[in-house]
Amino acid sequence: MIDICDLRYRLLHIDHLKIPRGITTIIGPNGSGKTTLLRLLAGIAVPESGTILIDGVPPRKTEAGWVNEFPDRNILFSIVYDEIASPLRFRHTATDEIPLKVNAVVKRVGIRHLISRKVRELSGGEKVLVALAAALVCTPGILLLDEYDTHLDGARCSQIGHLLSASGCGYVLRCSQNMETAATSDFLILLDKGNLVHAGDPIEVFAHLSGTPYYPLSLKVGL
Amino acid sequence: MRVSLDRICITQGNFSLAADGTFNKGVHLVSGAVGSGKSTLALCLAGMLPPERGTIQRSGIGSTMLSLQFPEHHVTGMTAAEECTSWGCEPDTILASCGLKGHNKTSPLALSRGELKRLHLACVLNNPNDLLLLDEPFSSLDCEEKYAFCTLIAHHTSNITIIFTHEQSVLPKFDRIWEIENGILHDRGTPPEALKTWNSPPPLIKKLIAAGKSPRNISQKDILEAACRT
Amino acid sequence: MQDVRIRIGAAAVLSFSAFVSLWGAAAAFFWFFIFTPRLQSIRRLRLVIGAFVMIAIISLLLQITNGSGYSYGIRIIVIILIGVWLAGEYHPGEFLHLGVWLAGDHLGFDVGLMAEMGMQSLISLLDDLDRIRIAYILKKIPLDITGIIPAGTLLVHMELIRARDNAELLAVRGYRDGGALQPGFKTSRLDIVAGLSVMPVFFIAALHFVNFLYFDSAFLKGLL
Repeated sequence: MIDICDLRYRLLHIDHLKIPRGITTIIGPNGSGKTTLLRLLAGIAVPESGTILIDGVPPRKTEAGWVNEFPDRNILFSIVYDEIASPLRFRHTATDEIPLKVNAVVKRVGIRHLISRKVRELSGGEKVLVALAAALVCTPGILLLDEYDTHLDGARCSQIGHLLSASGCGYVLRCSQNMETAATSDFLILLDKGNLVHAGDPIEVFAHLSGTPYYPLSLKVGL
Repeated sequence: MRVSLDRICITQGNFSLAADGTFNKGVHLVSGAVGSGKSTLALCLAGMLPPERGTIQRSGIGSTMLSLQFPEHHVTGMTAAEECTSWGCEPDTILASCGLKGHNKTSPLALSRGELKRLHLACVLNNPNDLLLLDEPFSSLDCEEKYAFCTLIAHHTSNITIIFTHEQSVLPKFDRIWEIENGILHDRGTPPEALKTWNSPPPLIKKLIAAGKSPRNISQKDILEAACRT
Repeated sequence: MQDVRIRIGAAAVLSFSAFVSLWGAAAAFFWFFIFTPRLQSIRRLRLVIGAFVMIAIISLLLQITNGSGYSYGIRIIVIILIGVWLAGEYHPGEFLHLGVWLAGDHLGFDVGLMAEMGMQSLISLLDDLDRIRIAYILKKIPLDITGIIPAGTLLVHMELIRARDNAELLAVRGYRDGGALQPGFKTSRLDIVAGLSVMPVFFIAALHFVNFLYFDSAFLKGLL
């Protein structure tokens, strides 16, 4: 369980929140604190007050995988292989293990054919897959994706959705503006102006959002 | 007023795109997967990327504007007010219209992704252009902002507006649907007939068509109306 | 030249040789003519036109004031030519391998990583410049001398944002101190021949430099 207690960070203000294992989607208007919450869970930012514990451990002591919204902001290296191997190299993994782990993850993500390519020359969707592979290569305990689907088409979103389900990560947290995607999650969090509005089963949360732009069209039409 | 593509071919490295057809007055949707060539076609129509073969004929097009996918690629001003001025817009009016009142001195690059996109779209749509090309205008917008944008577009009836997007849920009504597949631009026609020949419509529209309830157009209102049909 | 170790070593020796003597510069230019894809390098020279203009002005001033301007100008131009060739031969990732080979998994990896990210920044800078140019065209604003400061400010701002994003990405990917890497290099026969051919250039330059020190240098004469 992810336990958030009395969290304060800039505009973000969450008194109590427990996030179960599985795929969680965080929704809300721009500026509501979704990215901020993800950054706190990744350990990129530290709360001004309050605590975040992931299975009893603070975020900075947890292995986290991170995928930024913008495909070009997930790139450190020019070549796909170097990009995916980077987390292993930074952790001083034994050099003979690195190619094995990289090959395993590219096979899982389906981008073996891209391994020698320059990241800059890839399409937006391919860049997201590379970022995802780099995030998964160290088998993180928590995987965080910040609106990765905003620059992707439906087929690619669907592909990544399946990869997330099969990732093996205990916690997958993503922000999205696609309510159809949000409806398929295990847990849904709605933020607005830095405050937690609703959290729980997607059907329960969406029941509060009927008549708003955040109500999935698929639920409206009953499909 | 029209833009005619006469057997044009654009090549960039291993990628090539062939396009033939005419964009008349109205709102057009150009759909296609990421990497299919939507942005390339937008650049070509804007005159920024000449085709290798074929010609583009513009009739009655006095002004053209291209809005790129990432709004930071348009920034030239050091403040939000300067950015508005660079588009020929009055800063106070534009900033107020997109919820950025009081941000005159803020650097555009210090704005959040949604704020910058709203500012950018407000500036672009404020100026009348005969040919308006919008590359992924929905990206970085939240659900409410997407609806607001659809409302704005609905009022753009006096020119040629071409929206290049892979957005699946919140869309305005379109007068014509185009699709880029396997390096070729296909004219799917006008809704509702176009929906039958559209190979990759949004999943909900696909389900409705399969259920025999093809919507008249692809806005949320049309989808709801179709779903409620008995 | 595939092997970055030989390439950097050659560039360092050639640059030093060109700097210390006009004969060294001539020999270095001869080496450049024989061993590099000179046409490609010359095409890239347009990126350093500003540097050439500056060198031309300084050389002229030097020539007028103490008469050694032409020698200076020729030597610096050869050094720039070698620099342009070196930049053009860059293969992504090789600085990391070079760093670790030279100085190990900690300092070497860190220095190599800095060099790689520096190269990425340079490439991104050129992309950003292009985008700014397109932005000005789309807005029908002439990109003249008055646009240089705002464009420059934007470039700096974009670089700062990129640096912040990179810092976060490094942290979240577990970077703390150094990294594990098995350095690997491809060395062809031409690399070895070209690398060895740098030595005569160095000897020519060294001979003339020593000659200058002992026979022509007024300063040294004064000392002795």
